[in-house]
Amino acid sequence: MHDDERVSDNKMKTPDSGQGIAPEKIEVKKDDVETLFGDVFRAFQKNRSALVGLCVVLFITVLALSAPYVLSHDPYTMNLDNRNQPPSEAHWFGTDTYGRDLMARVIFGARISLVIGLIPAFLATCIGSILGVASGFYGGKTDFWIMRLADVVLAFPSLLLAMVIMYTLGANLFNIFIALSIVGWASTSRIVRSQTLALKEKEFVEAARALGVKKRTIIFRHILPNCLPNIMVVFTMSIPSAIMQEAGLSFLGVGAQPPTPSWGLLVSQGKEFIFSAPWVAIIPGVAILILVLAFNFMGDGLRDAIDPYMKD
Amino acid sequence: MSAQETILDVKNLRTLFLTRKGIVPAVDGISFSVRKGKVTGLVGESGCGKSVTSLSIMGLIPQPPGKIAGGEILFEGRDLSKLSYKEMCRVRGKDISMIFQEPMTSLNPVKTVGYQVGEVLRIHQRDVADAEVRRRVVEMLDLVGIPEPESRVRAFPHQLSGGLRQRVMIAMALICDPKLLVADEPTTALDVTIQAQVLKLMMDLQRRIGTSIILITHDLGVVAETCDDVNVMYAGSIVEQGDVFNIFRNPSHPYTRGLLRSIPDTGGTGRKERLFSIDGMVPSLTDLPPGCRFAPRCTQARESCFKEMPELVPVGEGHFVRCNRAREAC
Amino acid sequence: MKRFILKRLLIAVPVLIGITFVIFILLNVVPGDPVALMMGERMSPEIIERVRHQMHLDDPWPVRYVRFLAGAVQGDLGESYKLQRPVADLIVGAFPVTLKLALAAALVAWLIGIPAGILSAVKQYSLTDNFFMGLALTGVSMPVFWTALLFQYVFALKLGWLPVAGFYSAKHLIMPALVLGWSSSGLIARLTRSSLLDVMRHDYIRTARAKGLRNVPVILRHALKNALLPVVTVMALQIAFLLSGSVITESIFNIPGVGRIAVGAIQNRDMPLLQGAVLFTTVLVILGNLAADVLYGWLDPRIRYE
Repeated sequence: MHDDERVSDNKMKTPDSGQGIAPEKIEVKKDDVETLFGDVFRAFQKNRSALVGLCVVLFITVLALSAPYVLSHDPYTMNLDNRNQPPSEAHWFGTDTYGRDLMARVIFGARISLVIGLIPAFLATCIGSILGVASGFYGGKTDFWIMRLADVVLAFPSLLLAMVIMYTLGANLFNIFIALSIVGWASTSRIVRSQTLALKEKEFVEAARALGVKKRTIIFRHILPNCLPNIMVVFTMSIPSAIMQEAGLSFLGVGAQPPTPSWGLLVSQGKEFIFSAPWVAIIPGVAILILVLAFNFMGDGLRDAIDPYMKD
Repeated sequence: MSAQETILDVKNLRTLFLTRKGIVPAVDGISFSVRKGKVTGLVGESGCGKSVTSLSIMGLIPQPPGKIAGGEILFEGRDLSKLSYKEMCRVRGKDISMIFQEPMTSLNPVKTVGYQVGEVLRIHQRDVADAEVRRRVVEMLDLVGIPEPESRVRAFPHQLSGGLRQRVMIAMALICDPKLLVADEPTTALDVTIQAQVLKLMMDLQRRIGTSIILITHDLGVVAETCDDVNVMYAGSIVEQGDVFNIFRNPSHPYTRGLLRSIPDTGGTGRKERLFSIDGMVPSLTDLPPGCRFAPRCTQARESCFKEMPELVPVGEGHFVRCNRAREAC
Repeated sequence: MKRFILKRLLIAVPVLIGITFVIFILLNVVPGDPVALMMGERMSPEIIERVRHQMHLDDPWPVRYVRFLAGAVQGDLGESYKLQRPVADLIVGAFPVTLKLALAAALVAWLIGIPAGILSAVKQYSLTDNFFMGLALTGVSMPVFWTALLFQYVFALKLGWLPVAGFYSAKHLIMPALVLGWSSSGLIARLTRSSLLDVMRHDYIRTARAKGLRNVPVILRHALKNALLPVVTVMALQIAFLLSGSVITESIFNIPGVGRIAVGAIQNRDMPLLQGAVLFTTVLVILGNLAADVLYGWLDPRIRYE
């Protein structure tokens, strides 16, 4: 049965391979490449939850970017007469412990979470990809040491390692970038390494090596471009985890410092009043949940769209 | 072939697969019957629909994407395709059982072979005692030629060779004395020397138990040695049907002739002749030619062959061919 | 099997040395001066220098590393700056609490995650599947500290069923375990589902069906054990995840475990205590990985009989 399916599948891709002449064959190949990206795009489009995720992320991004122009309240202005007010017409999300408008703080917080989501995730993905490719491609001692280093990083509970790094470097936003990059690269490098190992055995890489193409050229021309879809998935997946970790660090007091409106910090400040003014802690948490969920849906959709092509 | 001696009657069976690229008619209106106590061969290249036919009979077509879209599968007069799920479960493994192509992957790696063989008994004979199951499993393993069956019941599949695993599969298939055995390329994955042993074992047991067999294979040598009746399949339909003598002595479809000529001749004469091969490929099932499906590859095709689909017509006693030129060719 | 375990042990050793090195470098070498950090910037340089000398902190760092390692092997992790007690004693005292929390949370995660994953896989693409998988992704996306606050608000304040915080009775364990378990049940559910779907495509499942076995026994007898093998491996990852989560959970629910010690040590700039807590936790993760490997080998006859 499997046989039948596989064979008919092959037939579908090259309908007239029997009598094909050379130029036609080249065209068929080009088509295949185009349909690969086309199919990934279509599969992503079909995935409704992934699309919803994308829309939510875009909406939050636009909101965060336009925050200073559309908000009537400043996120830092305190008003001690107006503390812990419940949501009202003037303050849609209510006010926090110092009488600041919670909505303004949550929306400004989105900027931090987005930046935190993107930059460390990007750095970690870059470092992980480079080390992973190097590990897989060069093998031997390079591979051994890089992978042992990855083992060490992965052995730490990630929050604890990030906490120690923040303790050492000092608690501020910039150091969160460093801490989360150090924590995040290891899993990416493992994934990229295993894919590099698989690609290394492929004919086109072997051919390039046989032709005497420089190793660096092979890596950048042949290996990395073929790892790219997977790297994209890993990147998308590491955004939400970076956001969560920043929130965790800030909640514990070793991340962003007051009065920065980081979501984790907002929840932490609200937790004292969870019984008298629950919205102060709950609303920023909902914001984290929505953004992280949106990124997770996107990552899932992207992975499902790309996955069938990764297997072969 | 009178009705009383047939055990299985497949009538106009159509099995479709709904894929992203369209509907694939993997089996497109085939009819054949299996005589009681006889071996019926389904022959063809990979992709011709023979495995889908066997899974359709077993009710094991994955749905979705598969679907039995029409026809009847009459087993002792009952239409299997109309049976409820529970009824079908009672047929499978007891009345009809199946041997698969891949002995390496068809056994569960985390269960002992004894458990896996005995399970069939437990499913179909609820009140059987553990000791009895064990006794019959050992007996069965012994029957299929597994050495030291008492200790092998506790072995895990990975501890056995491919040939032994296929013997375990045979033991599993025959332990309930099924009336029909569907063997899907049972020897293809095995070494050549083991192939002959396993085939001989199957035939010995068939004679002893009196089971009818549907043997699916692409190997005409196997067909010649084992089958009573032969159905040659091409691109989802049967192109030639008859008993084994008709097919081998008087092959009437150009495809069957092509298949027969592609067998390497080892029979003594030692002629140094290049092995014949049929040019071209099996057509895509989503994009079938309008006329005879074999026409694009047929050396004798005429214009009319590309236009109309030929019918299955008799060319002799119990011998049918789907070819426009059948009568003139022979 | 013995060789398999031995091999795993051999791989664990360099990792173990690696983590001690990383912890040591991070906490002793990079900032240069834990004493200044501990005592504050206004302390006079002479006093700082004297304390440094007393604590042997002016030795070259390789010497200090070897001393740290030798101490750690003998169970001596130094003395807490703040509490003036041996770090090892403090951690060993707090460990049973963390262990209870982690085990209870793991139990919750498995009890929710595995059945949800099985149901989703069996009814793939159905409403049930979509519901459970949506829920799982939501669970993964909920920050632990926020879930904890939500639970406190609902179950302690509004319903009054459970105590808000503290650690005095079994009842105090329920809410933290639910919060922590819930946060990792989503992952377990997703993994169980994909693993089971993968196993269901194998040939031996078709064989089981061909025997006449019905759907439920096919899954329970033939698919589940194979499907849970990779889930066992993830148990190892879960340990690290649960211990990360327990840092936050313990500090919210005011549970005197190792995680709260770590947070407290950071707040008090108590370097030896932080170092000990992190080292202990990470060693625990490595041991957990080892245990998962051994369990995997024991469950899979292909490895067991090697």
